[in-house]
Amino acid sequence: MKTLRILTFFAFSSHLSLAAPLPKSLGELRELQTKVQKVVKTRTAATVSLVSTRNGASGSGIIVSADGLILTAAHVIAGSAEMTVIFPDGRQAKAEVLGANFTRDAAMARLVGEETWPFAEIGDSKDLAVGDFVVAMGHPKGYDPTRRPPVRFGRVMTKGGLDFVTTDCTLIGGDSGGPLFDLEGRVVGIHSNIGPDRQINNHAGLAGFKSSWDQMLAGKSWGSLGGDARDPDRPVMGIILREEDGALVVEDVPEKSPAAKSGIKVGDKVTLIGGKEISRLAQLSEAFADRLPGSEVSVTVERDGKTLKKSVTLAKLSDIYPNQRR
Amino acid sequence: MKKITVTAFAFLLSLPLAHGQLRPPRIPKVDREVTESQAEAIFKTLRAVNFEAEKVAYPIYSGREQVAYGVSIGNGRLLTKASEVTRRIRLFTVIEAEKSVFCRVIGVYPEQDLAVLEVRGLTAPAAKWANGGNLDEGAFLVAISEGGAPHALGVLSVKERSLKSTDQGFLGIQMDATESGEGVVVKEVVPKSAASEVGIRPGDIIVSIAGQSITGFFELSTRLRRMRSGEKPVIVLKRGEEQVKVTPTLKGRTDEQGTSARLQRMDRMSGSQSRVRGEFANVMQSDMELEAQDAGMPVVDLEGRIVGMVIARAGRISTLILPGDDIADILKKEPEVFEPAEPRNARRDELQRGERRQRMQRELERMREMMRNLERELDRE
Repeated sequence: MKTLRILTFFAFSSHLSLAAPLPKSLGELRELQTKVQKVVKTRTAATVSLVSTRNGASGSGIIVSADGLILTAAHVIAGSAEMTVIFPDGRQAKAEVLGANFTRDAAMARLVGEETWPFAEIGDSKDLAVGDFVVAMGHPKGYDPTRRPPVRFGRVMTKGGLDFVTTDCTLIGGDSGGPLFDLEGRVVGIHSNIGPDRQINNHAGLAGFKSSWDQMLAGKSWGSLGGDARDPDRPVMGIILREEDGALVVEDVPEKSPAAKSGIKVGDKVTLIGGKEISRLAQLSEAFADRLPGSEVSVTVERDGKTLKKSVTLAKLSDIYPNQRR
Repeated sequence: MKKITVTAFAFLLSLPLAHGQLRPPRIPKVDREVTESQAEAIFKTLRAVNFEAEKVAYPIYSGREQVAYGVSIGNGRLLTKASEVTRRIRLFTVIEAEKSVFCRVIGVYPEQDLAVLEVRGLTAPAAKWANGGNLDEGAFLVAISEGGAPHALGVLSVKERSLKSTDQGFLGIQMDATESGEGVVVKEVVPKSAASEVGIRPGDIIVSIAGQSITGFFELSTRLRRMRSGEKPVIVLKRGEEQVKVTPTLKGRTDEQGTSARLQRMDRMSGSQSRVRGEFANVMQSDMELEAQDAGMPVVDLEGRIVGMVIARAGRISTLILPGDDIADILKKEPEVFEPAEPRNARRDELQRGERRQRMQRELERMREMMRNLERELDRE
């Protein structure tokens, strides 16, 4: 009987060795509760509602610096130069839209006016693991003066491509652009989209914000949600690649394409893009998610056993295939 | 106030795209295993809490269908959600070792959508209601099913508040929502409203209310909606070069706030919803994931106190809970006598049609759930 118990215990613990946090006693649950409540108390004031001054569409946002930098979702600011910012206490202000990476559904705006604004520190979605506890806030169904941003508590269910994070913190329209916090109250994601299953609520991970930070701050807007292959403004090198034996091989290089100019040839094996290893076609959207047409990217290829490093100035898809329509 | 404040606006959140590369993610088997065993462990921990609700939660059935839960209030009576039971026939519950007994609706509190059921042979103690009003947002809440089993864990998303729009102050003016800056320009005045009674006119600029200056539509609408009908705030207006002071007596809001079709779709696709789910005078909101037939479950905090009862499943992100101390107050009053109207044929037909429709909807929901499960199974293969 005793042996049996130990065995089951072992099976149980090894099963959970993936390190999902487990409150094992009421005391630990209470500690968890205290952390969640602290996140709510300290982060409510920085969780704002954003209303487009162009069409009245409303989403959410989170202030991340004392000088009023706001992180939100790209589809919340889409097409607006200015947003009305409504604080949970009903006060309103203006924010100017900065830049957006639509591929990652990431965007920035800045509050107008010299004030010290309430803000939340940022964290990193790279540090999140499946099972980690998270807290979501936002302004579901738009700003509502009868309540503060509703709190949702949940766990990371899975992590997806382009640094998206899936949690079971339930979201609904109006939450878009709102913050996902870790238990220390650091912003680790921005609400983006949902599936019919209540366990599928997707957030743009902060890692994706960080990799496109400077360009967004500089006012650049680019990309399309998830990286639409038919987007005419998509940055391209102008090569057609195929997967072969676990590597990417150049199948065709259209004349006058940036790749042709840089000397990349049919049959070359592409090993690195922007210094990062690449071997599958599915990795391409990730490799170009933070790049704009006109920027330079280093491409390393293997040819006849030699390694060659090339620099490619990216073009727009429509520069190379002008007749292609969406 | 202008409906544009909600109805005409879009509320942003994308549904997963079919085109482009972003597809609704499936949760991989390996990840699902982690979160499922984690959930099991958490519920096991919750089970260890000596909940006061151990012997007070009872499932209520109509025929073969479980339709709601009831909380024991002593003297062989259960308190439940009225709209889920009063139109049903053959209500029963299960007491002691699978013994089923019929229930009879003996009274209702229509304001709170509550009903009292008489259950012969039920000897359960009355639930001890605790005050939910002192809980902070983010507090853990647990819905309890029969035998004291933790059924769902959530947090307090929103503290106690009134969902009744008639409780909110209504001035009766239309404004431009996109406008901000010094004051707010009145576009139109609703006839016979608080505003028209004190002579507010289109073109007036509202500069301050109750001593606080206003810099935009949302600020003014927030101040007004946080006041109660009957309040008399001093409003300062600019009319041409003049400054005018008025003191209107606010009325209750009357305009129903519609919900956009997109939002309704998001709520509908996310499980069942109670038919009666709005206009409560004082409720707490939680993110605990329940279905419509879970209404009536007692809700406890981590101290095991019964801080409320589930009164409605109100959409993807929202479960509404009546606070325990409110319930204790309500129970001090006698319920209204419930007389099951002997339905005339036409009415009975209509009721039966309604019930059939509901049954079909439930059946559909169940099949959807089955399909989702099958899909998951497929993933695991």
